Amino acid sequence: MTRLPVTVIGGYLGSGKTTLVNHLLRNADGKRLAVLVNEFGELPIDEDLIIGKEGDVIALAGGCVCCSYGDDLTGALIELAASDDPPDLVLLEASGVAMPGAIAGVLGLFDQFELTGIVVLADAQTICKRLDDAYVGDTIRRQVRDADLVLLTKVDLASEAQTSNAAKRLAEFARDAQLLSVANGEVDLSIITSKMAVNWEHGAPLVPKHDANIFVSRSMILPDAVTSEALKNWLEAHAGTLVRAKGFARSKSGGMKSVQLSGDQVTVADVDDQPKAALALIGLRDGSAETWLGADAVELLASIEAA
Amino acid sequence: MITIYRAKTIITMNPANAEATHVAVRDGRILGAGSLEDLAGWGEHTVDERFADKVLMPGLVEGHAHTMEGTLWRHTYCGFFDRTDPDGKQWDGLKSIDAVLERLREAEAKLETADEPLPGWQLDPIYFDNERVTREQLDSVSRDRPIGVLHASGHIMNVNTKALELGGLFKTGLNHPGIPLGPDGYPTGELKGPDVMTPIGIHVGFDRDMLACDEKGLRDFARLCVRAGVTTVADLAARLNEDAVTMMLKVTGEKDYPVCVVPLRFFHGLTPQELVDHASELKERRTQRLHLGKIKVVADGSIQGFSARLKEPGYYNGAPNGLWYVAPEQLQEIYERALERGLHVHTHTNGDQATELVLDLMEKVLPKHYQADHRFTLQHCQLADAAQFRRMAKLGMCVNLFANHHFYWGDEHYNLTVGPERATRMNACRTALNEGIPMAIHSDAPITPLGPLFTAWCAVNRLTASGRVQGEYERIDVEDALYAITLGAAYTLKLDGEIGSIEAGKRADFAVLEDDPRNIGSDRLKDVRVWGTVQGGRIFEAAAQ
Repeated sequence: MTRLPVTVIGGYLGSGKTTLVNHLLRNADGKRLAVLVNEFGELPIDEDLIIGKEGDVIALAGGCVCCSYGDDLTGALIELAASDDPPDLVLLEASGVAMPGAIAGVLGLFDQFELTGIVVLADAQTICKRLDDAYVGDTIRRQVRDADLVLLTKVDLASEAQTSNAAKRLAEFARDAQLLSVANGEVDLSIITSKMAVNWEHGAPLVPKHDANIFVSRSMILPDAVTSEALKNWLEAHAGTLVRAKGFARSKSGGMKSVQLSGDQVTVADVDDQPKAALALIGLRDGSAETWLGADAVELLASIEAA
Repeated sequence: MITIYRAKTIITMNPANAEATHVAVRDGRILGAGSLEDLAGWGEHTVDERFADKVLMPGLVEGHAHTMEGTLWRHTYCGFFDRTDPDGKQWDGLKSIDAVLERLREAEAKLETADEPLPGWQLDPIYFDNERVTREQLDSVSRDRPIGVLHASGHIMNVNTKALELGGLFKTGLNHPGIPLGPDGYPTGELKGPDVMTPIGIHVGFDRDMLACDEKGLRDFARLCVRAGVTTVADLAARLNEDAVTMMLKVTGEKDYPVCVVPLRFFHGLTPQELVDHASELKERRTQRLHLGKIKVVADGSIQGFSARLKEPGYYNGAPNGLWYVAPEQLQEIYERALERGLHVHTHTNGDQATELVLDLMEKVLPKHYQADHRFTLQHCQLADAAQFRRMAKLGMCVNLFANHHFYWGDEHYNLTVGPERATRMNACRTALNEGIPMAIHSDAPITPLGPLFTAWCAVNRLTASGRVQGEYERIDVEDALYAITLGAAYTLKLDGEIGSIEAGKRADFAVLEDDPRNIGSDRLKDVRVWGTVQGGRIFEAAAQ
């Protein structure tokens, strides 16, 4: 059975979900998208994209559709799964206070769907203030924690300081998510829908090619010579230039360790399974990180090994 | 045609004319209450003696219930407490899981076709030391037909293997917080939350829309109302699509439909603009027995489900804070638009942070969208503290407190959810009245049984199921409690000019009682026997229902 790929798009009110979805519909590369929204009113699909509307379904240009699920998400999914003419991809827009992880959990109940990942949007101008809000701060943190990819939106409207502060705040709890900054809601569909969870063992984290992108990242397999102790020292020395880092390396005593940098803190922990020794780094483009992230791999590894 | 009813006594709830022996009724309206002599002046009349040995009160007003209870009674009752169905049959409470399984077996034996589902309701494992019902136990009732039992909270369901198979969930490798797995890696059959209940619920005989009430259900619910002395009931809340409205108009318009239903439009799935537009349209279609056009918003979840939004210091057991079901910005927009259009909004808040949010928003929007008599009402509002009640008073808000909850789940709150101090002050009726806030108390039926006199008993005595008095200070007098289930509740529905007391010009809605609730003893208030009701001058005997 072919499973229908679904991308969950979450984020608080005003985080730019509408703009993003319209951009994706406009640049679908011939793919037939089905957009599931909580309610139509929240998603004013650009007029020129709409061909017709019937009940809960809006027909869109290029064979795309937009459906509102109101308060019955599972019902809408059941119907979609039974469709004779399934779309190529489903974009499921969560409501502003919904937990996207919980929605992804519902998808997991159906064999007919395959989750490509959870994208959570945050408005660069307002996210810091919202995170400190007594009512919704923890809700937004939980949404971001659910994310595989965090899009920092509206960077074209935000000041540089706002953008960089927002990135730092989000990186504190965005776990293993990629953080990508976005102007005008313009992100490639391929980035939104690729398997986004960072594969820390093998591949490189996704590095989107986007002018507004303020992050640089790099990943590599670590040779045995790099110990977890050396990695910890090196990360501590470079903490100021990095947003996030995570790696696996063997300690001098022989055990496999995970080494993570979050904020200014480096934490080392035992790992149960035996991942390959590897490292992924994310830094701010405007910081000195750009220099070393672009450095020759041999030199970089030597510098870590010697730390 | 004037009928003057003689009663043993009439408790009018009109302080200027507190007690009477007779009430005169013409065309479903009250001409007055007083002595026969007072009323004879209205002209030619017949004196009706049928209530001569009864006590009349204003028809009781249930300010927060769900008509879906009417449909639930077609399923097997699995609750811990005795409960009466629409036919008047009393179902014994089931005191063990074995007893639940036995009742399901009896119901199963009566099913005619082999694959017919077997739905049950009102299971509450907290009374079985939280021992959970398993898939295997339900399989012992039947492995061949789907079985599902809804919990009393309405948020959890237990199902058997067949139900999981039909829903495609009988497999290993599931990873969802609402689906606990057994040691074999398969679901235990417990399903938590609507997201996971819905796809299975449709296979075990529950409607996908759990709030939905069908035609028969609406009639059955009305019979429960008659047994409880209720003549007006608020249905919080319904989606009220065109089919549902047409059905409700038809059923409530039937000449012997015995209750006025006040269905509130549920906010979910609509933008604030769409919501107020729909509520305005519905308001235009109001009838005598279908009072359409009000709005219900849900701000947070439930305390026992740990999904209510709490202020510091949060949950007693350290659980993380709960969930918002509406964004503050959306809630503000709903309030603003509703105030502009003169629409009446009731907001569910359980946790005190949710209540705080509503108060903050009201403070913000009221100066801009002034409405002198908005009567926006906080529903449940279980955890509000004294400072919040003071703010409610200043903001002109009403409150409908969940007195029954205190009895059924008070021990749970004391031991687990919010701890002794806050459990002791929960559903603070005394404080609300002290602050002069118009107050109702409610059952949230089917969550707890419909019965305003029982609800009044809960508020007066504040006993928990284990028999402890929890929060003596927040107890209220019988008189205050009777006010809360009549005029108090009517006020929160903006119907206090029409119902809630027995006085000239109001609708002839009476609760007909065998006992006087003022004299029976506050500890026996729940035992007051209900003969039936009079609604709009029409007489409905409970025993005939």
